[in-house]
Amino acid sequence: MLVNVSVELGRSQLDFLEELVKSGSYRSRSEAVRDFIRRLELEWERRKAIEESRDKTIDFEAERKAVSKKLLGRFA
Amino acid sequence: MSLSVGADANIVFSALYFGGRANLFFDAVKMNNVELYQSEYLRDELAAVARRKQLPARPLELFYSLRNVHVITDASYYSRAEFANASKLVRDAEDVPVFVFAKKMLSAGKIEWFVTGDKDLLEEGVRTALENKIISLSEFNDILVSHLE
Repeated sequence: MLVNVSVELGRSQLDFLEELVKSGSYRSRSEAVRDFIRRLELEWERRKAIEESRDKTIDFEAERKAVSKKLLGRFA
Repeated sequence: MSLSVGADANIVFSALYFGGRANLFFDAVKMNNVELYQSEYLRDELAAVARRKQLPARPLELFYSLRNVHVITDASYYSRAEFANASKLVRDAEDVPVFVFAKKMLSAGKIEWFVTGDKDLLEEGVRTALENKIISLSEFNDILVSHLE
């Protein structure tokens, strides 16, 4: 669900958004802003996740084997 | 112009939860310099491992919501014959869907490279079968740096 908010932007920031829309990269300024925030949030959450994983040692290949049996069933 | 690549689950896992050598890969996806393709199987495998190890799900949700990250349905590349053929070349059963997906996407020209951290998939026989388009993270990082120059 999208919520309408009001933000203040610098002139150059607004020009940048307009340029992105004009180039066809995004359909609207709102879509561009949503995409930017999504990427920023990803960076934020990722840094937290990496910090939490700092003392962990995970053997991905071993974990992959552990989960594979159930997943491979979809190809039967 | 962005690179179109496929990535194994171990690459995305490293990128999202450990960083290190996968930082360049992550930044390239985040900054829209890479169009990334994964299969449903790879996405679900990654999610299953994250759950098992009680890692936060939010980075995965956000990653797969990016418009330059594309999840391809398993039905679009599954073939009984291809899986049977792949089983003769690839050692582990769980690597078969990965190999077949990579092969399909490379053959169709949808991706230029497939990146993996799995040593078995980087063996000479597999590399040859995929025309040396299956590469390690280090090799991909070199390609990415050249591409961005």
